[in-house]
Amino acid sequence: MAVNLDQKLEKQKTIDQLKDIEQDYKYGFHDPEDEYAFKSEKGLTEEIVRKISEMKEEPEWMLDFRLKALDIFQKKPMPTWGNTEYLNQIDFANIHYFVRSSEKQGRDWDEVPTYIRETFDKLGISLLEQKRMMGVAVDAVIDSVSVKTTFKKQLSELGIIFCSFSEAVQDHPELIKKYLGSVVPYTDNFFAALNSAVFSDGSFCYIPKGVKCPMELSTYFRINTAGTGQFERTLIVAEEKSTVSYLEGCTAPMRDENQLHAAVVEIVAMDDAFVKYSTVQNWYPGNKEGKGGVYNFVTKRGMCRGVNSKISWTQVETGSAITWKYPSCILKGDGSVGEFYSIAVTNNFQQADTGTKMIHIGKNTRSTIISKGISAGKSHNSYRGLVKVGKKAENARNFSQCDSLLMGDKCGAHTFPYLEIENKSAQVEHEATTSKIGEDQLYYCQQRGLSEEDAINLIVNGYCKEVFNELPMEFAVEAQKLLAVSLEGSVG
Amino acid sequence: MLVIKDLHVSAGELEILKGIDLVINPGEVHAIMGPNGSGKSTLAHVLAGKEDYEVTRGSIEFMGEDLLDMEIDERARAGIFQAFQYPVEIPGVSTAQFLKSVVNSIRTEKGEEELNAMEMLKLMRKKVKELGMNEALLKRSLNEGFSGGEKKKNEILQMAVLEPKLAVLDETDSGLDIDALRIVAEGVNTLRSAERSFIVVTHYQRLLDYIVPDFVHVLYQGKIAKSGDKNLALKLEDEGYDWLKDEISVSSIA
Amino acid sequence: MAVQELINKNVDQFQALFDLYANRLNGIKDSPYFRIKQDAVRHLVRKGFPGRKNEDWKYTNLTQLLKTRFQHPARQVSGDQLSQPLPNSVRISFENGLLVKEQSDLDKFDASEVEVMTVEDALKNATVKDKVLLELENMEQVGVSAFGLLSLAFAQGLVIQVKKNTRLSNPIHITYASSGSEKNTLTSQLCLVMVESGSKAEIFQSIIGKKDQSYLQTIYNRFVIAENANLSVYKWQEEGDQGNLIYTTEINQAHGSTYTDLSLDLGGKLVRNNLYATHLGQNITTNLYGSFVLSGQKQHLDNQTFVDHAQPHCQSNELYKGIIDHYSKAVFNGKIIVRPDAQKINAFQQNAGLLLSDHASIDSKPQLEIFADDVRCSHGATIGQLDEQALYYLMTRGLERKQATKMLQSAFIQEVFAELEEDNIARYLQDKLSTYL
Repeated sequence: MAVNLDQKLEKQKTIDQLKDIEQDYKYGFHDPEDEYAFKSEKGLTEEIVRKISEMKEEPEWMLDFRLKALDIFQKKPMPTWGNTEYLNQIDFANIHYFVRSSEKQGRDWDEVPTYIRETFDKLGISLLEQKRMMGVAVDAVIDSVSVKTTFKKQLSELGIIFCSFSEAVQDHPELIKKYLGSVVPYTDNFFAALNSAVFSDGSFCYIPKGVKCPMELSTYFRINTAGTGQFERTLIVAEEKSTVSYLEGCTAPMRDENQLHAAVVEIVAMDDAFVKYSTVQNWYPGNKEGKGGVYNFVTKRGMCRGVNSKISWTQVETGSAITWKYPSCILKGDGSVGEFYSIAVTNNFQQADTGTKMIHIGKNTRSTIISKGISAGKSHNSYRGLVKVGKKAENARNFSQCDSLLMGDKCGAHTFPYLEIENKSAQVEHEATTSKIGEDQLYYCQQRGLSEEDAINLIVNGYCKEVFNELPMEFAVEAQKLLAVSLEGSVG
Repeated sequence: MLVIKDLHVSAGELEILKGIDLVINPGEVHAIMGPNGSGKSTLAHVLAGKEDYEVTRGSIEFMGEDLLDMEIDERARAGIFQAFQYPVEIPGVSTAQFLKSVVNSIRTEKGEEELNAMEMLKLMRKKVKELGMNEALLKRSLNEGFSGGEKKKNEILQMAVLEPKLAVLDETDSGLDIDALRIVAEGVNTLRSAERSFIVVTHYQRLLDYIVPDFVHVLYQGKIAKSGDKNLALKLEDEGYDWLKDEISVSSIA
Repeated sequence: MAVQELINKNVDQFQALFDLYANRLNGIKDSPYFRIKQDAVRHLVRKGFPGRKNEDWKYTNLTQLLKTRFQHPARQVSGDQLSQPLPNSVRISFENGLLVKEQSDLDKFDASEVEVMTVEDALKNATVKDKVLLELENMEQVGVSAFGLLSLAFAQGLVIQVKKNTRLSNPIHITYASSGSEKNTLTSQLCLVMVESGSKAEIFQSIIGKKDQSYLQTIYNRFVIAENANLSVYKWQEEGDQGNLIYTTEINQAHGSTYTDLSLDLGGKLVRNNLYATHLGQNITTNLYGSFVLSGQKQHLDNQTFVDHAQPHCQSNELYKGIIDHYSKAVFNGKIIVRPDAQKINAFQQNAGLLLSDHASIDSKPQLEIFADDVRCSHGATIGQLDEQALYYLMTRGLERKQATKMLQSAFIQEVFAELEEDNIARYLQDKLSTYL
């Protein structure tokens, strides 16, 4: 116990020092790069893809999947929505597509290289440790490779598979073959094709029939090496009557140049299954002048395949220079339910373009969309979403609310909802408001003794409450702090 | 405690207060009465520091400091509390959460340690009990969907938790039925002490039956037209403000 | 060959059509109007039509329409009464694209209040000539939509100028009727309205087509509203079941002006309404209201609105409601932009649709793009069906199902008419509406 305490104090010291050094972005350190075991040449060629597959000792079918995806990627044009001005700056030939951080994957905590463990300490503010203590199983992906999966044994006793994607390809090929690309095919979009060709690792999670996963499953993603892209893949399969709550956290060090992150998340939910997926995204957003930062292009989609299945996305997006991300639900099973709760905060020169697609196919399907955008500085924040009710989707219900809060007169808030309704029994309601924080609310809080900044934080947190409520407790606390940090200096 | 000298205040082009002089000592309760539009609420807002008003002449000293030099939140942390006529709704922020933020920001400034959630909850429960209110109030979003009475009770609860040096009650009795009025007034009375002063702004005498003032001032056309003890309030209740108007016009003619 | 290529190849036909048209334009070939028309058609052929990749045309597919080989309608006038006249109004009537003097009250206009004339005449009129020319050139150069260019190239064109500080006592009733018997005709209209400062005017448009007759009609309105002026434009259309209408209105509003637009769409195979409002000053109000009943077998109606809040202290209100039956489809695409520094804007937008059949559909895309912080903007969209409980309630009170349904539908649409001040117009439109419920 004494050792633990010492370690804790030591960690705290580190954190404090870090805070001293870099006030704005608490995850803005990076680890020594020369400890990397393998770094691919820059650029994307068939050779690189083959090399990635070879190094990972992948079976033929996996390589085949990658090569087909590469072919699509090379044929597809860059997407054209949103502000593409910045995107043209991405030089796909100037990215390391694969970096392996250590020769062997650490199978046990002690085997994990010290500097990576330190990274975790700094990263999560002992988040990982805390979660271990609180019984959260964690898989962490640094740059491209999954380095650590905890609680594997306890989970496997229940028949739950929670491991790195690479392991899953080796150990559970039948499941991967069956579900990989079943929700997000590699033909889906430009970045999904890119990911499918070069994805390095990620997490795989399988919950067998009737099992309620007893702990939160969590993945922590981090880009470390300069000039790299991170392309991870997450696949979650929830069998009949199973339940799982999955957390995802992301950070990256401060870098002057932009880094690329293009992930794919696929979820499959069978009859009566419930998957809850929560994200706190805090990739490096770039500095106050808009230099650097992560380009974050993520395809997340869940398939409610079974009757009465449910997929719920919750996200708090505070990081990244540019985010394009639309966690979606295909409501195929009768009575299935899709939810999307989102907070997106942008400050300085950040751009966030996020939203969801709710595709109602089955009968009696329901979806809820709550999106809260907050823009400050010179940033732009867009909600872009689709609610589609197909011809056969009898009695579909959707409620959407998209609110925008503006702080300052140099930022923008945009709402692009698409509603496509082909069934008369549908009931679809969409509401959107754009406003600023009320003067009278500020005055009231200040009269009680709060500084303007604190008053704004308080009001903003209240404004976001419906979404915070959806997050697991400890994540919600972290998210609230992040929000405050993100909005620092946006007043006055 | 509070010394107001020759205070002139304008809102836009319009001069509302035209030379107010008022001294309040610790422990005193001053009632400010007057017809509509006489500047009662303006006085309350100027003490709190609302930006819509401009002080064109005069001074306000609070605990020996120049109040007009301080920001809204600085004044609040220095011990000025305004109970609003129309409390503002803040969706998603519970009363408990709000009070925790406020209390801790005051404590931080004083160099005291912040209260944690548990300590805070204990403190609030105690106050709720003392005031004979319902604990459910703490969990609800601040003032959102509250009835008029609940909002006013919430103001008093906040006052009880924040323990200000000077409390300014702005038309706290408006919108209260007699039961609610009694609860609110009793709340105020439990907070009366030798160190704490009150300014009670009201149109009607009925609140003063429960909160008995040491002094009553009648504000008319931006000036204190008459000062007295609680009997002045009774006279106003019986005879209205008309006699006052006559008196003023007589004196201004003279 | 890709569809888009085919369409754009097909666009060449408009040059040929124009050459034919030009042959008939003896006498005006030297006028600047002719030059502008030539430029417009050249511009169109170069630019082509928007494809589905264009976000503004995402839900309206023009492929079928633009594959058509068009011809000019015969220059004939039926002599029939073209539309039921609006009480207390002054009439201007067009049939197959031509002004019908016998059914127009051109002599009833008081020139000290308002000037009404064809573009050709306007360009001979010393007082309005320069302004009209400027507007026409703006259209061509600044670039209206492809369909606006068609109007510019082929329309005879009407100019209305309301004089300063004038209250027009009677609405101007413009009728556009298609009555020919040829197939695949192209008819174009152009209407330039200039309301000088401090004036108030009402324009009522009737657009009527013939059953089974296939045609494309393009109507292009340009409304220039000066300081503190107030213009209301009411339109109802009952195009034929094979008629296609592309109706475009560009509104330029100066300081303190008010514009109100109300549209009732009942007919047509493919109908597209484009409304673009630009604010050039402060304290401007723009009201855009629409209602529609698509009771035909397969109608397509696309309401597109765009309010550009470029200036502070302005407001816009939008309300669109409609009923869709059978295989019909309604689209609402409303965009509100609040430009940087355009503070103190109130912008409200609401659209609602009732689906009556299993095959009817609605696509809705209400957009807000906000670049200023001190604004209040909201939009709402609801899509659903008649409230079964309300229906049940009415039936328990003795109404037949059909009657009860009609009552509820009518109540649903009525909300839009509640915005109308003018009694005669409200009555006229309600009359038209009720035969469709």
